[in-house]
Amino acid sequence: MGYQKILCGVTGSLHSQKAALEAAVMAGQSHAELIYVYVVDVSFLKRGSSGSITSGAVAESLDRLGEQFLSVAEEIAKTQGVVPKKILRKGLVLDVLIKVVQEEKADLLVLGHEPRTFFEKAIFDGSVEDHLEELKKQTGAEILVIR
Amino acid sequence: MTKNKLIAGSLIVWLLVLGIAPMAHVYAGGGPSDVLVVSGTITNDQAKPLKDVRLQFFLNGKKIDIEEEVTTSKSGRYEAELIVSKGSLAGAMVEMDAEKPSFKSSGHIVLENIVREKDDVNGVGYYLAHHNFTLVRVVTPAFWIASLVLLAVYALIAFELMHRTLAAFLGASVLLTITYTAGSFNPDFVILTYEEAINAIDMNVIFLLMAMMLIVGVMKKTGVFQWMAYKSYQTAKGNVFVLAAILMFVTALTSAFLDNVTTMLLIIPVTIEIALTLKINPLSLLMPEVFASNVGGTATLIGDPPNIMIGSYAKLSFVDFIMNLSLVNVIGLAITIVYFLYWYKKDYLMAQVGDVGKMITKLREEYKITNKSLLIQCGTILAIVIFLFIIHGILHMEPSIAAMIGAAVLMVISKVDIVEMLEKEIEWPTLIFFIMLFMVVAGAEETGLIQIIAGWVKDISQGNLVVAILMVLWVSALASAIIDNIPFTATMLPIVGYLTTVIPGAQGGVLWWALALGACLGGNGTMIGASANVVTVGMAERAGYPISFMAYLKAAFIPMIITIILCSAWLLLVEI
Repeated sequence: MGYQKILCGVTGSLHSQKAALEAAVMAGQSHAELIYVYVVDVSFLKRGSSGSITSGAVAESLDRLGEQFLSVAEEIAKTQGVVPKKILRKGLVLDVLIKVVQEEKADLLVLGHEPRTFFEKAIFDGSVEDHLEELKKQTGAEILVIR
Repeated sequence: MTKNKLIAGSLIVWLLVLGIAPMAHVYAGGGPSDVLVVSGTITNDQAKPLKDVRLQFFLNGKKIDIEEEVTTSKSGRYEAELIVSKGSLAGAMVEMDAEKPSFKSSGHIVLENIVREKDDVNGVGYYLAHHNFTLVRVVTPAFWIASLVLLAVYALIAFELMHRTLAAFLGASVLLTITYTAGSFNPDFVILTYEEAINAIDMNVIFLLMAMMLIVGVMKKTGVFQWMAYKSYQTAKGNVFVLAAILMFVTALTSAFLDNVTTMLLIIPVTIEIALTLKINPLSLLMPEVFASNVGGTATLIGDPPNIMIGSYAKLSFVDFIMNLSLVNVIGLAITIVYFLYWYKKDYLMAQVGDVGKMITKLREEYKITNKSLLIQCGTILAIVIFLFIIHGILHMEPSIAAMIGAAVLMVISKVDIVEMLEKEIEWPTLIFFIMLFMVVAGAEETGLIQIIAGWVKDISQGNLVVAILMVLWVSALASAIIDNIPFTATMLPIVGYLTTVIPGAQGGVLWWALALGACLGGNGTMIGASANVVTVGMAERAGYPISFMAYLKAAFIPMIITIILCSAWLLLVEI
């Protein structure tokens, strides 16, 4: 199946790198534009004793991490002869992913399956399938979870 | 000339009037007078001085008019100068009455032993009387309200129902509002006056935190922290065990002088990059690092907020902390390094070291010192500030003053934008949280809850120092593993202060060290126990490496218990 634009959410995990590779392979095969996105989400600061840590300092540190992860993903894409676009955005993971998919008019969203990871916690509040459908409905894009 | 004489004459007249006026004691009823000076100290039933006790005086049952209200000072002292008609004190009954919200009124106390001191040149007779006494606390509605508010603030923070700053803000506002509404009509509802609330704020803590935030804010622009992590990798030469040990040491050392969260925020990205290059789970390096950060922070006065609070409240100097806490924490760090190297040995053995030289070159480029002259400025100022911390006890200078001058000079010489620094680098929610929390705890202290808890602790320990040390240490450690250690420490300060005065042998300050060790190291036990833990776990999760509450507990609770056992031994064998 040919795609025009493939968007892939990245982190530093092995599953995420697998997803980045799979997205790059698919982009190469269908000559699609490939976009990697990392979301700087500091919502975890509401937890525990960290209630008054300013999110700015944490976001700054996560920015640096996000840039690292996007560079790693870029290297992976280059092995498949694909030059990706990289996006680093601040916000809640789910909201940002939906927004970027809509803005970029991506027709495929690729995510790495990460057991008990922030993707699942943030996106898949109930059963995975329910939320996949919901995400699909909101973005209109196809969603692929790499396991 | 005539005009000048007139002016000079007028001045002399005014000077005479001003000079004589204070000398003349005129009885309110007119005519010649005598003066009775009454002084003394008022304490509560735990022998703690009571401030703001209102006093009234009576002569033969009739209230003596006094121009200014007589109240006790912070040290519980009062002194009243009573002007009465000449000769009226001879054979008269002089009584006093003391009142303070949340305390039973003293009733009329008869002043005995009134001594005639002298007569001055104007024939005014001077008399002296001295009386110390105790006011008994009563449980009023104010007690229940203040207790409930304190518990509610704890609950809101513990169950994360509200931002902790907002919870404390709300609590303080409720206490003040009730005091100035219901309390205006019925003194049983007086919890905390505005003056008491303002006096409860320990500005030394606030200014010290603020100044250190500014110093760290400038310092992190130099890239020195990340550079230290790169140097750790270079020194380890690809040996992951050595790398983990060096990273723990570097993190602990940095955290001893800078706040733990900032240290972790700066070191996490470079640690994750190193871990991913080694193909190991970053948590196997991050977990030991954050543990070490909390241990390092415990070692000094400025390393962790509870220590800052304890130091300021108990008037303990930077050197006191170094002398009493640094060695035990160095031993604790050594033990935890061994523990974590063992705990993560499988991960470390699985590391794919690869081309160390290539990685070193990459890290050198990525994590170099970004501004050498700024680093020299920061290093010099930090050294001066630490020197001032060391001698602040000799100079009788609050530590916050040392930090403030350091922050101010550093900002001047580094030419940073002060507005940007104030906006970005100061954690205003933290400072507001502290301010409001001091008020909430003061409410509980003023109305008696803290004294009741202190009494319980004393009764349970039966005045035995060993039991008291172990209780303060272990309760603080376990509580800090579950709840925020800042409100816990704020509540414990007056309790430990009381125990220090009443438990034989505690006067040396050993209970303060038990509190500091328990409150700071206990936070290591769970992922929510310390701010640095939450940030580390959150960032690891955002990097794709989550850790569950139980997994964190499994890795960190045992070493936390080991460090507390070590501290128990230290306190009992070395500090007593």
